[in-house]
Amino acid sequence: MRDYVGQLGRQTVERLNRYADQSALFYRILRQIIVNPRAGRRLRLRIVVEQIYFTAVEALWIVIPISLLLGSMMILQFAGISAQHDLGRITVALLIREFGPLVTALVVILRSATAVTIETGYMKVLREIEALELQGVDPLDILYVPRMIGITVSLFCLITIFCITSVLGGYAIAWALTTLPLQNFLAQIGKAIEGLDIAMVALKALFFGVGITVISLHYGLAVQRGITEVPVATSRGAVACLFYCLAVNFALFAAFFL
Amino acid sequence: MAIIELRDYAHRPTERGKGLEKFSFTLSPGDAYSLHADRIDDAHLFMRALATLEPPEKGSYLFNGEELNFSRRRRLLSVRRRIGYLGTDAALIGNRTLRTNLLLGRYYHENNLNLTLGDDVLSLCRTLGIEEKLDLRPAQVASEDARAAIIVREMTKGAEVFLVEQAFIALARAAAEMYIEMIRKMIDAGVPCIYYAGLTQYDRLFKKRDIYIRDGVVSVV
Repeated sequence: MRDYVGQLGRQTVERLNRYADQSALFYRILRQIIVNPRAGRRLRLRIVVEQIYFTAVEALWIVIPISLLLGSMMILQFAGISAQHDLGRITVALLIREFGPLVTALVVILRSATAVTIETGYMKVLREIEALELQGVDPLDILYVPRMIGITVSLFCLITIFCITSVLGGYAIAWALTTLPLQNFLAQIGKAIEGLDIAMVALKALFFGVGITVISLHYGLAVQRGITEVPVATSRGAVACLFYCLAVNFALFAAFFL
Repeated sequence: MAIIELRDYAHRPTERGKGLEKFSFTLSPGDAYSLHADRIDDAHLFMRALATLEPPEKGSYLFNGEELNFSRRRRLLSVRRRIGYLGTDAALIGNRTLRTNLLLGRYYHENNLNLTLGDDVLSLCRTLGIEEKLDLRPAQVASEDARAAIIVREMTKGAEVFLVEQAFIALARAAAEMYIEMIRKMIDAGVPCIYYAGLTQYDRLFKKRDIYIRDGVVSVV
């Protein structure tokens, strides 16, 4: 019993330490974004563009097919089970507000968050971060800040693309392949979507982007001794990102809709 | 005035070393030390301590007379930039070319991405045989070329102090001899230097004085 309580206590302390470290990292990155020092501004911008290219542009070929498949499948399901007048509202509530941000976040976690953890872990172990510091280059400026801006902007763009493609593309596929009644579907979507839905999507992109970046960077930086720690950190980081996104998703839902 | 001054500096033992017991040390212009240690890890720790990469457990570190606060990370960067450190584990940024690695500091500090390598840098690259490989990434070149790029980076950053740690282990003989000549010129020009050769034949190349580390006790002779 004593061992169990001791283990529980240690795990709780470790977890609290981890959250404190992540909060401190978030604070440092945020302060650096606000201060925006002149040194390295152009380099930072270039790395932000590189990050957006990797996280958003190169992920399009994954996000678009997923959004089309999911959109057409869900529209067909909804058309089958709901009355015509509910179709627009259900699509907005589930596809745009819930599944769009979550599925996109999952793609970003699988592609970019894992890459960020691996890259940061390797840079830490191979002393590349120290190499930057020995040149007077602040890693915050050219590693952490560009990752956060790049991933958050990319997430917002990808969620928007996901929502538009899943609704329009899904509708087109359903219209072309079935005889289900989908009259006035787009008009219903237009009527059902509200400012709050758009704000919710933007908020989720912001919270997911910031959280995914901080968590993946933190797990990468936590690597201490050797390269063999990197895969473990990557796996743990990805799982932590997923739980974070689910928790934020629920918290935002509870805050605005309960 | 001393460029680096460590006052009552102490550091806890590392995994394989004995650490550094309380000692004081100054490094002034024109100084050239040869470092001897009974454990490589202690020598490495000593060099890292001088490069500000290991915060002291006790004591203080003064650079050009100003005491460093190791919790003010951004202020430390301007000091680190003025120390040329060729450690055994010195690295290049893996996902950038050798050219970008050599220009990265200038890209950052001059806030300009349209810079080209200066004649002095290109000349060093030519001397060390990496001029033709500047557009390759570190993983695409031999380890001695990567090491040569690190040497060029550290020697051309305008350091006020130079710390050299087993610098020739990954260099071809011709490049090593050229590199020795470069360090000799630098010392003659008054740039203070501490050199740790390990057990190689280069042990007594530049020394004017000796630093000994035995069981974690630092002494200067």
